[in-house]
Amino acid sequence: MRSWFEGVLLVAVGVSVSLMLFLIAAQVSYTGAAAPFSVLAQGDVLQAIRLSVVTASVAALLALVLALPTGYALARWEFPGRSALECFLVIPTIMSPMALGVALILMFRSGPGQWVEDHLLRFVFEVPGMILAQFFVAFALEVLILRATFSSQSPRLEHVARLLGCTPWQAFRRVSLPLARNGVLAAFVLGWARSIGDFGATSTIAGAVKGKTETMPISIYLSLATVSLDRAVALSIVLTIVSLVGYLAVYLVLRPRST
Amino acid sequence: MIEIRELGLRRGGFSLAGIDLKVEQGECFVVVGPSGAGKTLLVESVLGVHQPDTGRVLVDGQDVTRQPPEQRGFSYVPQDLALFPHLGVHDNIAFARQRRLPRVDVERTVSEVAGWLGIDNLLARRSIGNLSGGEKQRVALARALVAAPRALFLDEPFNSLDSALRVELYRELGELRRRMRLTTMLVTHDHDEAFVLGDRMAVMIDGRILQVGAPDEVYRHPATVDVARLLLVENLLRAEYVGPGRVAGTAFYRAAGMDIQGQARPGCPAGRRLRLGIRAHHIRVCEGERPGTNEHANRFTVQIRRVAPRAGRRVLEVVPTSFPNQILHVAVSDGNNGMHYEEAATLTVELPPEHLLLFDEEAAPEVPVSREPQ
Repeated sequence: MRSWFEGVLLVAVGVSVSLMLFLIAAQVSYTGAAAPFSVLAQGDVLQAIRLSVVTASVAALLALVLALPTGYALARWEFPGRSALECFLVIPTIMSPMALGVALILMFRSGPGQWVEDHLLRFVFEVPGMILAQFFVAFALEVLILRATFSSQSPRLEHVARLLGCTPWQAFRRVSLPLARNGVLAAFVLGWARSIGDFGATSTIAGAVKGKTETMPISIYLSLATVSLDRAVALSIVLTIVSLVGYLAVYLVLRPRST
Repeated sequence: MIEIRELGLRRGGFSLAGIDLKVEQGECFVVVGPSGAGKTLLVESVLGVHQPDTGRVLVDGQDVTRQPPEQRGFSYVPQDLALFPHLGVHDNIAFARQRRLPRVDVERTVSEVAGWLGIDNLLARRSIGNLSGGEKQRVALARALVAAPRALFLDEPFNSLDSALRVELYRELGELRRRMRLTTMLVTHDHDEAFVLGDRMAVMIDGRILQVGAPDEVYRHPATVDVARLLLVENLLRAEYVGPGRVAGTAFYRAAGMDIQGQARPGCPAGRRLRLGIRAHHIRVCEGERPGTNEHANRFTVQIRRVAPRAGRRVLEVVPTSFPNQILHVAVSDGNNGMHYEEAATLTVELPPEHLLLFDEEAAPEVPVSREPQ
């Protein structure tokens, strides 16, 4: 016989699944099941999917490159103000995406940002700007996940590795990093999912230029702006499917192992 | 030889202070102390995991205090074993060797050490998750030995094992140490472990070393009340010096309303506050003597308050009839000549003077008693 607590858990799971089903059913029933496939035949939609996948993948990967050592350092080093630094680094997660986009534009309108924009690489209204916006969106999330992952590992494993002859880098590479595999996977997948779905920061810095900076969320926005509700809903379903496929692909490649 | 000189370290609210120890080549040196005494902090400071605030660590005369752990040539088996959960048994054991030796040499060393520890049948296991406690212990020990360390450090390594397995591993570790002539430093809260494995031992309490010596010496002559308490001197009575005893070299001490004769303490003034200790199994029950006829020195009439069964023996909680506030513990073997011990019964006990321990409570704080290895 189930206890009342198990009953509560069962209800919670049931409500969660029902909410998701309602969400998807509302879209599918509006457009019909064939609509997403029909928009997939349109060239601009395929271009938007390609741009979304490429920018989100590059942004999540770059964020991971920086978030991995940052999260590790935050987990291992003890210093005054560590919590304050952690809060500071995760500002992009608590910031409105639109505000983040505005901050990025301002960054490239003065000082070193202006110089980079003028002499090295253009960000505003360009694809690199989209990647940068998505990088910030993914980075803070990835830092949080990786900090928690490394904090959950016993530092004694590294101590033993050091005493068995490893340098700090070798101890990280041979022990801490393989053990953090699931956390790294989770950080990348969530960062990627956050990036591919981002609209606010991306559209603010890169604009919603059809055929140029048009990711899937921007495409949905442009469809809504032209009152093409059928197309907007179909694109929403496509974006959900693309995100799900991307998530599953990454999950299967870097399948979590029971360590 | 490992020398620890004046080592001091503060971590949070805890500090190690003025640790002076010398571990001779090939000996097994045991640091015994209660939980929270700072044993792990001491070991990890010597290993280089924590940088000491003061003092030095020397290995064969070379100062290694500022050397990183990987250059010290030590191996470590921590309390939680810290086996690498993402590696199988073989790769855990071969971890130190895989970095720098040809595969053939690695395999030979791993097989050899695994054979010594009787775990060669486990080498093919791809996960350490389903090993038993004893198997994990052996894998951790093998991993440490394969590195061919200059010294092996063990932190409560047998803590989680049942007593039968523990005894087996004591024997195996002893054999391995002799075979490899391995300098070993072991920290434990279990004084039995110290007596079984240690060539010498140090007693550590609250971040300080209180006594160093051969285990038997420390057992027979604990330097302080705290050491005595740690080494299970069950009876520690407040006492004061009364005066010279009936026999030369003896003195009377008054404790719990009893005048107890023990070894004289030269220069001890009358009224000096002392602690008088005796182990429960050293108190003799005088059978066949009627209570109240105790004319011999150190024989007293006591009343049994409680009888606590232990494996193969009983511990009697008794109080002197002259001073019912003082509880004494007396250990008697089961089937002690058919005697039955019942609550509220009275009996005569003797506190043999040769087993009495005396601690001066008014003396200055104890300094470590250093003894050369025997």
